[in-house]
Amino acid sequence: MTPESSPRVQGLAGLALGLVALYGPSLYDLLTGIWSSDEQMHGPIVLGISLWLFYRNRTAMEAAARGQPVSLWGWPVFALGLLLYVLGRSQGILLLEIGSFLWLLVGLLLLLRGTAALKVQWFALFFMLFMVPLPGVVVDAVTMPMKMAVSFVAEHVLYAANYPIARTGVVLQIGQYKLLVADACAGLHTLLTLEALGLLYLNLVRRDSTFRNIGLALLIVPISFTANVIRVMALTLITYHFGDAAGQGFLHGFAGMVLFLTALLLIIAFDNLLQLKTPLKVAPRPAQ
Amino acid sequence: MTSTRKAYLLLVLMLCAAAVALRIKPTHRLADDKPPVVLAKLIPSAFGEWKQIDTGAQQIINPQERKILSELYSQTLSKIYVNASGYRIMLSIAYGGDQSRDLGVHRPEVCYVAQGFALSKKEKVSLQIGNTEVPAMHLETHFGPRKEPVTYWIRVGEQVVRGNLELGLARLSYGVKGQIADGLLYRVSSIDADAQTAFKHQEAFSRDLALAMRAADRPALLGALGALTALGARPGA
Repeated sequence: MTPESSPRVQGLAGLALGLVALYGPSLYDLLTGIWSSDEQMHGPIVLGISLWLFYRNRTAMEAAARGQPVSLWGWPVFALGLLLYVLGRSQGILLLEIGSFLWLLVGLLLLLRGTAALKVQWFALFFMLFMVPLPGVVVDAVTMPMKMAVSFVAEHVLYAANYPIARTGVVLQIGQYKLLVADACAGLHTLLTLEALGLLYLNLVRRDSTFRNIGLALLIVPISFTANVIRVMALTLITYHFGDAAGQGFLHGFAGMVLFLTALLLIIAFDNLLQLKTPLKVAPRPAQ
Repeated sequence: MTSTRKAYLLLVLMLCAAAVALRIKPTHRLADDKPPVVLAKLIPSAFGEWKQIDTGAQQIINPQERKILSELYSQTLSKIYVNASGYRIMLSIAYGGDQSRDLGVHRPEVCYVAQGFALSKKEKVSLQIGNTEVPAMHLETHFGPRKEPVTYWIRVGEQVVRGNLELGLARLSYGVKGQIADGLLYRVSSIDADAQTAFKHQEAFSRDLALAMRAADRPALLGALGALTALGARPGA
């Protein structure tokens, strides 16, 4: 270890220790609590991907921060983060407890590396927003109309295909089976998960065209909706043709996978469609 | 300030925050101070003009919903009562010893909707029970042609609340004192196309029930409002 890196490593280890002391218990609670439920499965995945994105950009971050001044705005942001943490953690308000992690990271980045570093890491931090558990009121407010709409479309498509299907609210009746479109099937969490997936795709593919980026980010909402409809229809049809047990098996084992594959395929399809619409720019490619 | 010293300062601040959060996290369960609530003993099977009836057919319950319910509540009770003129009221009570946020009471405006009901109207009201006004919520729900008006209130610790905001504030007011309140959800509903009639019957039912309960049991249902002085003497007694 070189003499000049040693205190730096100590400093980083100290910060890591602090973060573990704060969020170790939170992470444990999340993993044994809501993140283990069907609706919030995306939480740990989003966390993992964020950390990976953060780590991937570390060299770029260090390069951008070199010679730049640190920002004193970090102190109030850091202090606010700690305050939110204390309130959220002690009173069991997950929105504040987990949300404070973002404030804290932004504060630390500003204090130790400055605004330039923050700009490099913005996507990783933004992506972390998707893992913050939202309050039940917000989730219910969005989830209910979405469930309604998904059930409505699924009913009409299957009815048009001559299936004996009827709907009351979010309860679909096909043949002798009654299916309730549950929160896990179509809701804010699924929407957020798919939006996160789409944004990650955009970030990794790194399109140069702003039109394409914004277009796709917006299209992810209807794509997520369509994927949900397809999932509900698949479940309905499997239950109708192969019985209740097969439907439940599909629901617990495979439905999520179908949803994500459908969404991913739709995203890629739309991305390529947008590519056709993008006016061809004659940009000289860098020589290989 | 060198970068290393700054890092140590930040570390100290973070450790302090972790310690403070741990220190002020509520640990005192109010339910432990009081005699245990046993729903089955709390609610008489006949009172006033109401009599409990046996129900052969069980309602179809979404298994997911049932799982959540059993996680949230330590006890639940649901009964159907009928009065002399044949009006039926469905009573459902759920009790949990720990109503901190992650185990919170499931409000009917959410749970009805989650079971496929549509919620067309909700209104905060107060019910006249003895000489006390008890805050409650009126919901008008329907499932296809079946109209089911609902009256409910939630007791958190000593307070009676309805709606998400009041529930959150009540919980927080105990939380900052280091206390974990217990909670009870009281819900009555009837299948009735006329919401006003239904609400009138539900209020009468709730009044009869509260006044027929043993005085020592009333606070379990109504918190501080259920204390003898607050409720007043039984009318006609």
